[in-house]
This record gives sequence, structure tokens and C-alpha cells, in this order.
Amino acid sequence: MKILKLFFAIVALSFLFNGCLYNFVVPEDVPVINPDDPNAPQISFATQIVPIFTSGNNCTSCHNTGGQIPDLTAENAFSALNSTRYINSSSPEESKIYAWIQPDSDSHLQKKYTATEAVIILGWIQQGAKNN
Amino acid sequence: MKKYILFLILFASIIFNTFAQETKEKDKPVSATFESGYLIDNQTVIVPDVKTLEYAIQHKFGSMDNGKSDLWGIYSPGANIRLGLNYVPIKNVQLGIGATKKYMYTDFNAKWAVLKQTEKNKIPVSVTLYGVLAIDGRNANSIETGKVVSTKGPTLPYYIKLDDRLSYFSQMIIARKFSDWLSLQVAASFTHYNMVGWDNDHDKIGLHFNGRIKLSQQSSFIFNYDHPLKIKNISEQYEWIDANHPLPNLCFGVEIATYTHAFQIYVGTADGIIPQDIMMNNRNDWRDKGLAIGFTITRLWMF
Repeated sequence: MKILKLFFAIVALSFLFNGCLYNFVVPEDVPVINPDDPNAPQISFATQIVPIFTSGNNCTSCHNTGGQIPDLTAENAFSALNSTRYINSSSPEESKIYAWIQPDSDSHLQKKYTATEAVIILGWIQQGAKNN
Repeated sequence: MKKYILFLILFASIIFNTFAQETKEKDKPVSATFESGYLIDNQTVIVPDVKTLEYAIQHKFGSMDNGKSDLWGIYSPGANIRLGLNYVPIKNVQLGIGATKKYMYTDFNAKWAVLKQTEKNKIPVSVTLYGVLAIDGRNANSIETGKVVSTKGPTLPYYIKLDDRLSYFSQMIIARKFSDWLSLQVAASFTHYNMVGWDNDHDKIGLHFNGRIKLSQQSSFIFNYDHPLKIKNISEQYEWIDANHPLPNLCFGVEIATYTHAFQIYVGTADGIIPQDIMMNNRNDWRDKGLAIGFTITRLWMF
């Protein structure tokens, strides 16, 4: 019994003190998109925006066809978002699809964009929210 | 002469033995310093009897911040839950596993009741050691870039491995049952995360204070307070910014307990449930609306 206790103590201690690392998570490198630059690369809705919604069922786990509006599945996302309800072309920062879910907001607590995703969404709206 | 010495030794040992047996029989450990192994989101010194299985459900609702519009957090997102199973394979040693929703933690824990307070105060306090190893189970894609570096300098980042996901918590708990209605407990803990955000510390030393005030046979008022210490000597931060430090966790509530079952409903600060998460990642402030409702249910089965 004493040996068993000692064994458990050693196992517990080795768990506690083994393999201590001091690593840091590399923060995201947030891209800078200048809306006034006419030569800036165009953000593609199909290849850059849709994956934010659909990869790993990020948004589409709730926002799917027949579920929570807007429907963000790849086929329906553009038609669902293409309205003044979600996109404010005169002041892109106030667009609901950006402002409601951006990382510093207090709304949409279920999930938020990462900093990179927020910049891409905002850039897409600034470039005219095209279905490209 | 030799015979005389031998006789003396024998005589002394016999007397000592009988004396020792007497005290052993009369001075028993005190009963029920606390009602269960859990006190809100902390551990107590209690380890149940050998061959006991304990099942725990710990739940915290979302923040009460929005008041009645989301029924003080019951409708709001950001809730957290942990399901745990603990078993006592040998006397005074408990082993457990658990799963937590936040960060998809899987935790393995061990608890050893080293000393037990006795009725005649031969041992005035109960002492228990507690350790947790937790694995952060999130998809690497949802942890910033999914890469880590070993120093902040110009080193090559690599993808998150199992080692990086580990975090450790070890604690020494000292408790005393002052009377039938009052039990108090203090503890010191050390927390280590293998992987943290850019502006965080890997190590954290904390102090804990919790207790129980019995109101009746079954119900009692319970509270706990966890304070992560800001120690400059073990900190890795160049700049001393308050936002980069975890905040203390304050919880208070009511416990209703029966012989095999404890139900605790409380209001508390931290949204984490496993101890290292509370010590390292709590940014809610109890002075500034950072409170949430929660409950803990434990059930014991004796085999």
C-alpha cells in the first residue's frame, strides 16, 4: 500500500513538473487594406469572404438555409447580405455584417471575427461589396 | 547490566505502544469539514471514503451584465459547463477526469489528503494537496495564427503541438473546522501554462480563501475568493499594464447538502471553471458588473 502511494505521488509530481514550456502564441499579422488606393488588390467574395463564413462551419452552423438569418451558406450568402440591412456603402464601418461581429464589439457574443477576418470584411465593403 | 537495559527498552516500548493505541482510538478525524470535494469552483480538503465515485456537474451562465433583458445571464451566451468524475482508489487519494466547454479543456486531477484535523486537536488543521493537468482542446485554427514561438525574439514559429496545449495547477489547501457551523480554508497555488498570449505570463502564484457558514442542518452560506498575485520577479512583462493581469475571483452562494449529494448555487466572477483557467484568464471584475450565476452539483456513490 505504501509503495502504491509513493507510486501515485511520483506520477502526480511528474505530471506537475514535467515538460514545462514557455511558449507564446504568435499573434495574427493583421493585413492593412487602404480603401483609397485604387491599385489595391480586390478582395474576392467567393474566395476570401465566403470561407470566413463556411470554414469549419464557423458561421453556417447557425446561419444556414432555413436557420438563423442571414443565410451565409456559399450559394446564398451574397443574395442574403446584399441589402442595406447588412451593408452600408456610404459608411462601411457601420455595416451590420462588420460592426455587429467585429472583435471589439459587445454584440454577437456567440462568435466574433478574428482581427484579420474583420479587416477583410471591412475592405470588401469599402471596395463596393461586389459579388466577385 | 545488559539485561537491565533490555528490560527498560522493552518496558518503555510496551508503555509507549499502549499509550499510542489509546490516543489513536480516541482522537478521530473530524467529520465533514466541508460537505463535498467541491466548493463552488474550488476544491476543499475533503477526499471521500475509499472506493467512492463522485460525479460533478459545474455550470456557469453568461454574464449578468445585461440585467433583466437576458434574465440575468440565463439567456445570454458565454455559458460554461464542466462534467467531472472522481474516484478514490486508495485511502485519501482521489483521481479524477473532467471536460470543460471553455477552450475544450480535458483535465486530469489528483488529490491527496495528507493530514486530517482530529477531534482532540492533536492535528489542528487538515492539509490536502491538489494537482490538475489540463489539455486545451481547441482547433489550432482558432488559436490566433495556430503557431507558437519559444521566445519573443527572432525565432522560427512552429505549429501548436500537444505539449503547448498543457497547463498545470498545483495547490496546497489548509482547512480547519472551527465549530459545527464554521469551516474556513486557505490555500496557495501555482499555475503554469505552456502556451500563452503575447502579453501574458506563463506562471502565476495565487492565494485562495474560502469557507462555509452553516445556517441549518442541510443548508449553509459558502464563499470563496481567489487572488492571483502580481509578482514582478516572475513576470515576463516589460510593461506593467493592468489589462494584462488576471483579476481576482469572488463567489458566494448557498449550499444545500445531504449525505451523498451537494447542491451549490452561487454568483461568481470568473467564467472559467478549472482552477488554472480561473487563475490565468479571468478578466471579469466583480466590482464592475462582472458577475454570473452558476451552480455545482455533486453526487457520491459508495461501492
